[in-house]
Amino acid sequence: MDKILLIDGSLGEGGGQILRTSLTLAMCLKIPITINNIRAGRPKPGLMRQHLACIYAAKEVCSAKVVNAELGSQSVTFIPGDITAGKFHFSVGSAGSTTLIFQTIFLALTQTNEISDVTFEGGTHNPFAPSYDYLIECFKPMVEKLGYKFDAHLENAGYYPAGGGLWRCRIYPKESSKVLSLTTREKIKKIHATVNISNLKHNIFEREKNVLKEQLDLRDNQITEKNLNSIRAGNAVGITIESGNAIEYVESLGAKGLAAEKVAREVAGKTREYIKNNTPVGEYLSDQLILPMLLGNDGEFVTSNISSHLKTNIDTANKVLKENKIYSKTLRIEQTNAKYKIICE
Amino acid sequence: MKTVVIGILGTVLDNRGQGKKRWERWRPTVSICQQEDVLIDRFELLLDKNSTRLAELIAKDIAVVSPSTKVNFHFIDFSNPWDFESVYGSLLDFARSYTFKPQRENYFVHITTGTHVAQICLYLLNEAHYLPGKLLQTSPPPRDRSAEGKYQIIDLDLSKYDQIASRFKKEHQEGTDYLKGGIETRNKQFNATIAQLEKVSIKSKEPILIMGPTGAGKSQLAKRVYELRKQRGGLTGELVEVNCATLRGDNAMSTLFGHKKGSYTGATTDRLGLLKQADGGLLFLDEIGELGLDEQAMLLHAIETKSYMPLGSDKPITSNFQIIAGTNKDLTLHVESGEFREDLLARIDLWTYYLPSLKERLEDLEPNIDYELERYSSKENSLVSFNTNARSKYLQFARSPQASWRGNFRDLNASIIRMATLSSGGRINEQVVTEEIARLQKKWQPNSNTVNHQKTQLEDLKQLIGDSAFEELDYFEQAKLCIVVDVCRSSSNMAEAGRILFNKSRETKASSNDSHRVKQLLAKYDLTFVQKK
Repeated sequence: MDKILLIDGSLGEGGGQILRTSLTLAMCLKIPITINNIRAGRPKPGLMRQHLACIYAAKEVCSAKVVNAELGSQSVTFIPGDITAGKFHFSVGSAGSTTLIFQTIFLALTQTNEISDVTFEGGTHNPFAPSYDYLIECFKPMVEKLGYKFDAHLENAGYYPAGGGLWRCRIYPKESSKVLSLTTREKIKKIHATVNISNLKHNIFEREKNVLKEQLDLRDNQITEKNLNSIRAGNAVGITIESGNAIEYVESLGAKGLAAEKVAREVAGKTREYIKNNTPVGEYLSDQLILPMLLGNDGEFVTSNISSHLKTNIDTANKVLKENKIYSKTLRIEQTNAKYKIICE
Repeated sequence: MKTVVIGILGTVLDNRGQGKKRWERWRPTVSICQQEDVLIDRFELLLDKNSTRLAELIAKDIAVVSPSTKVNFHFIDFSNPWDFESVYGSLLDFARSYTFKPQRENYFVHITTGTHVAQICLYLLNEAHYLPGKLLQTSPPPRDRSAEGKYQIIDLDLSKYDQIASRFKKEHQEGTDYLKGGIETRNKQFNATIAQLEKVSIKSKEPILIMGPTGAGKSQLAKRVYELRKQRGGLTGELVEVNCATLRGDNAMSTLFGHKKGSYTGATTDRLGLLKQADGGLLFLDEIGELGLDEQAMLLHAIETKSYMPLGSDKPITSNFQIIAGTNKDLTLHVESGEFREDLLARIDLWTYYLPSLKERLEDLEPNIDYELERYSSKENSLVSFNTNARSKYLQFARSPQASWRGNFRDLNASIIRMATLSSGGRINEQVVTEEIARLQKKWQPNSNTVNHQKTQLEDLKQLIGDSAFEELDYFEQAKLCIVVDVCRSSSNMAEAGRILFNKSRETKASSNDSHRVKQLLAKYDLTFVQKK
């Protein structure tokens, strides 16, 4: 058996991101790993239900052997087998985010030669994870540029904390990879807002629309109302910003007791910030592009901010790459002015 | 380990309507299954059958927030949810009928739902270990921002709850039959003895003599007589216990009667003595047969006049004490051999009770096992019980001739404590019993003395049936015959001997003439039954 690679789970922001990144790399590169100090120093340390859901999903996708995958466990060992495409169904309780499970297994399933159909049940719009809309509006078109392809269809939105969302997706084998190059942002071509409403009065949409129109100078036809099926009430506002070479999607979630105007103002603020930064890749996309780039055909992109998530992702990936004989790549960060170039070569 | 929650369906808190708005409200039962750091494998939901519709909705919603949780319904009669007795009874019935697997499952008893009465009952049942595990309490989120709220776990096994527990224990012990220690004994003779002793204890202040083998419970009984006299007979002083076998020489005198400073070497201060200490109370002299003749004379004088002279003193002191004496010897034999004063025996031999050995009242074995278990449970604040197979295995051994119970109830007490300590999760299983039987067998193994005893028995048999007849028998048959002779000698008639000798085979016979079988058996060896004198 191969030597097991030890990963310190308390590195960087030390949360679930390091677990998901490690799992994806372990699956795709077929490296056995042990992650220690998982969520060390948190009030409730160790694995939570949503982390277990990711581990179980990863386990199923590549018939892995898993040791110590238990609630509260601070050390877990993951010994991957071969990734097999097929039909999968992942349910995550307590409104745990289905998009994070998707994030864990997506790249692995693109490494096979067959199509996979995956059904997700659980949360789709959670406060601490990219929403389903984000996956479709931003992640999907961006990774398509690198040769990764998936289609998805949402049946029910699952809002935190009830969950109950349901969506299906089809993941295709990776096509010949292209080198990523996103060093400057081209001119912004289109801004479009989507207001998701589930089981709430129509006037929520009106109130949010009014704020968006005022704050972002949008016209009526740039704002769409979407009524999503859901077991509970929910509201999410997202803005798609499309430039010549990149797409960003910023979003804000409504919550009980939070005024609709505030939700709209928050997302408008995020939009203005992205536009002002004048970089092609936003904060969330930056950490999600690392692995597709690494497992694809290298490349580089520029972003305005190195978040702790991004830093953790880069460090974890480098650590795994260093131990791996097949890949002789590294990720590095170059800073110029207030911009950061992430280079994979 | 699986995680199992036992909780009552909250007909108010869990009932937030059928509409989608219910998801924005805190529902304790659902909220348990929404916690990020707890995964509930099974939810045992207790409900009244009138709430089935609500329960179905709750189960459906639990399936959404926690797909892997299995919800089981248990219909409980909550027709009067504010009636303590009926709620406690219903919940106790549930607890007793539910198969707990503490080795494989962790239990949480949810106490946030149900009436206050039901919550108190759940607490009591958990505290008494009828519902094992820890208590689980859920609380609503601040301003209802996220409907999953919070939870707390309360482990009643932690020592900070001991105070509450011991108070409960005290209440529980009241009203039990004192002399028997609350043990429901079945042996008729023993029960009659105790019934009389109870009357005597209350009405009489005269000495009591308790006879019986070691470990039969003499000391226990003396303590209970003392408690009873204290409660009902106006005894004000303390109980002073002494084992006379430990009193030797000058020390014996001084221990009992006290001394003046300088009365003998080493007597550097005044000493009051146990008789004075028992003034107004009760003196229990165990193994009184071991007391020296001088002390016996002094004691007799003290019993009769309530006064005596301490060693080296010329002034008598008075002490109004009552006395209970214990012995495992036949004191009349000691009188014959001059080791015990006849007049003292006459004085203390007014109310004499014989405590049979455990072997002599095997029908009381089971209640005593229960008693010991309960005593251990209340001392350790943790319910301990046998599983069915383990219990029958232990009883079978305990009643068998192999179990000598040499140390009587002391052996039983130690045996139960060992098993209770080794039990896991309060259940004594077959493995624990098997190991305990091995321990007891080792403990009761005949030692070299018994081997010598066997030799003497064989010599004895040789004389009884004659040398030639003896030599013709196999060693194995000699040994068998020894037992027959032994049993016959200790039995008062042939029927009694037959019951002991044919204890198994007689059970399968429709009618068993025990005495005839003994007669035939003895006749084989030209022996006849001689009546015990």
